[in-house]
Amino acid sequence: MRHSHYGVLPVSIRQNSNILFVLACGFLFVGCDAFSPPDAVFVVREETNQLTSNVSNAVEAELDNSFGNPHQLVAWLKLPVDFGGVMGATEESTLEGPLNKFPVTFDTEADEKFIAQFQNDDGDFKFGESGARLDWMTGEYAGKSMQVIGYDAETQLLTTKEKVEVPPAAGDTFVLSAGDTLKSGRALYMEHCLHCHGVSGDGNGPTALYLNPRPRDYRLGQFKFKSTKPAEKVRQEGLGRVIKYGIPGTYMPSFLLLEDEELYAIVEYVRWLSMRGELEYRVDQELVLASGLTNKIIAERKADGDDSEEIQEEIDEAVANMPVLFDDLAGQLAESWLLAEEEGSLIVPAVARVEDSFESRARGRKFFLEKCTNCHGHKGRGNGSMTEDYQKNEETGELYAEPGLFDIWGNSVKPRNLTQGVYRGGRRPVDLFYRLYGGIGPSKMPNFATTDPQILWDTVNYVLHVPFETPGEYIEVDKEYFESKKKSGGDEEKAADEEAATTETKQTATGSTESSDQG
Amino acid sequence: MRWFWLTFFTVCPIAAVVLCVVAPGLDWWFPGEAGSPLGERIDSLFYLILYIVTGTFIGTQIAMVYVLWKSSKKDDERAWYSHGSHNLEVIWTIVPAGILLFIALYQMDVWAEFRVLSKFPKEARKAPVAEVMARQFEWRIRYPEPGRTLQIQQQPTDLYAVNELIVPAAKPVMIYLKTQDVQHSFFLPELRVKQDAVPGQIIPVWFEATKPGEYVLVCAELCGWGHYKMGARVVALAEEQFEAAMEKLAEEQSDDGFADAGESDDE
Ligand SMILES: [Cu+2]
Repeated sequence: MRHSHYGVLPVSIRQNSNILFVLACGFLFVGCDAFSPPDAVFVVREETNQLTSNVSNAVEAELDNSFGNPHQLVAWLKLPVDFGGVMGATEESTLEGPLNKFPVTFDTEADEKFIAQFQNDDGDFKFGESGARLDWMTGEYAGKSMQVIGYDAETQLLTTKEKVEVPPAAGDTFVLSAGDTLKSGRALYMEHCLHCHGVSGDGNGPTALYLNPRPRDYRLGQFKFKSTKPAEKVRQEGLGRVIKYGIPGTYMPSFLLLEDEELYAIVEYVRWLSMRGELEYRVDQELVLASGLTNKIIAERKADGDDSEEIQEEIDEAVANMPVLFDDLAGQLAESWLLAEEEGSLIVPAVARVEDSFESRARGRKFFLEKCTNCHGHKGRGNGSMTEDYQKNEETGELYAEPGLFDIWGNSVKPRNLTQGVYRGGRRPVDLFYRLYGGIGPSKMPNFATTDPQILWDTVNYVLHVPFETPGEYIEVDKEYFESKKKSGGDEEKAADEEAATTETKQTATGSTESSDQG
Repeated sequence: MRWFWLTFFTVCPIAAVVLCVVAPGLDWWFPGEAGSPLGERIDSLFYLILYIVTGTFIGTQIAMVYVLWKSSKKDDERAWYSHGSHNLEVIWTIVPAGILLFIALYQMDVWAEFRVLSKFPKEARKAPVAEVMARQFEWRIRYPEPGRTLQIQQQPTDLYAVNELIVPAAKPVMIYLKTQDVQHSFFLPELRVKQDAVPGQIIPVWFEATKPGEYVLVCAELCGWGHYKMGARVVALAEEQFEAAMEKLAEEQSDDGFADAGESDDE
């Protein structure tokens, strides 16, 4: 279910905070309140803090409005997240007020959900002791909530605790127990994910310090292992796979034992956190890069003699414009997340896997020599020349302090050592095809979306075979490749490449074929 | 006050014995029936030791209560100290030593069958079903391709899974237990198997699930902050279903995303 309708819908967790409070009292009672956990809060980005105070306050207030805090989540229906709950609409009613019964209808999907959630084994509809919450989305009562206490399947009449004079008009829409999925996602996230990925999904939970590679910071809206085309976001299903099967080679463990609904709830919560983070990031980008409203820039402008009234006007305008900015950017974000779920965004190989044979792997090897060795090295050990060069930081335009490659989160990344047979994004041929076709954008692994899929399959076959390579297996292939390179131009770069390959072979190959590699 | 303590120290052991007797009937503490033949034998060892300990407990408590009541009536008699009595020392060294020696000899068969590779059931030893690699904080599993035997070295045809170990039921199976990082412990409470995974070692472990079904697999060695995450399951399947499951795994693992492209309408 996707909501496209705009509205703000609080998800109450008063009950939970009471329990937390009781626990905290327990700690105080035994006199060791130093051990009570810190309060869960959504942290603010560094960039937001650098904004001038009026603007950064406005950003924080708007974030709070649109997403709430960990104790009181807000389901912003502009975002394509399944917050949970059952959507329905009222029918034409002949009953006269004051009344507390309305005829309602659900579409097929919602009807199944409604029955699964509220009908007990005897066929009766039960709504708990205090009733189930109903939030009106449109019509006379839009924004108001009521408590549902009964439902009659035959007449399709919903009974509420509240009596109203004017019955809701036919076609008014509502949500029953809104935010269910998000709430259970939060509980599960707090239990399983928070200690690494942090309350805000900033990859900075208490155990994150001890991990290498660092846990993912969702707040850029980017994920490394996905099944979608290079520019697209990750799909629900893709995130679900990562959670279910873990990421070997990192600290992300498998959560195979979670129920399907639990997994789904976590996926939705992570997507929601990711959208929250990316929205803040984009807002900051806009305010810093386009409007230049940071403390630093403003101070510089004032020092340059810019009119401070004019600056104040700019600030006031940015503050007043904040809801609109949020709305615009959230709209763009929503579109990109929705697009990822569309059929066309999924990578589907245009041809079936090429049969794994030496010939196929040899073709893959040639492609590997052509495109991959700078990072992955000639032997696939992940030690290509790029890992020893100083790379430029694209954001600042300066060289990184350390040699090697860096991902978009600023963490040092190592190209995969393919000889180990550990495949973070999964080891099915299709997983490797996704990696090649879609690249791994956040770690700067290029995509090969335009390459002949046959060649990609050859490369998949080659890569899957690297751990089992016998010394010198591709020596003829390599020779042929470098010779053809020499003929077709023989530029110095390639000659240097060949030299590097030869040296490496000399150092590492233990086979007797080594000497034939002399060129 | 004297009578209070006398009664207290008399009632406590009696209550303890009563609790001990009714506990199995109330399903307290006892871990349910073992799901494997060797597990049943391990359980009978456990019960044997429990009986010995209960007997000893009752004996010593009767003696203590007897002394307590007897001497409580004599206000003028000085206590008698047994410290340094050679005879007593010999008696309470030899009697427990004898009991321990008996237990040590009596359990040797079961222990050998559980731990000593050459005593493992032959059919289990011949064909290990999988390699179980513990790591912080999950269980990574490697099966041989159906029809092949598991090799110590990775093979191109191997099948991989995580946190779910599938084995045939009603037949002894052996796994190779390894760890990628720190010490973990492979614990199947229902099957009464617990074996540490030690860095640098490949440890063969065998077990037999009498009935098909799901069994709990957890880590029983505090291995780090995420220790609690190492919950997994062992699924015991009837022979045919086991083979089908392996075939299915092989098929999933060779997925090239092409064949099902037509009907893929996932989420
Ligand atoms: Cu462990």
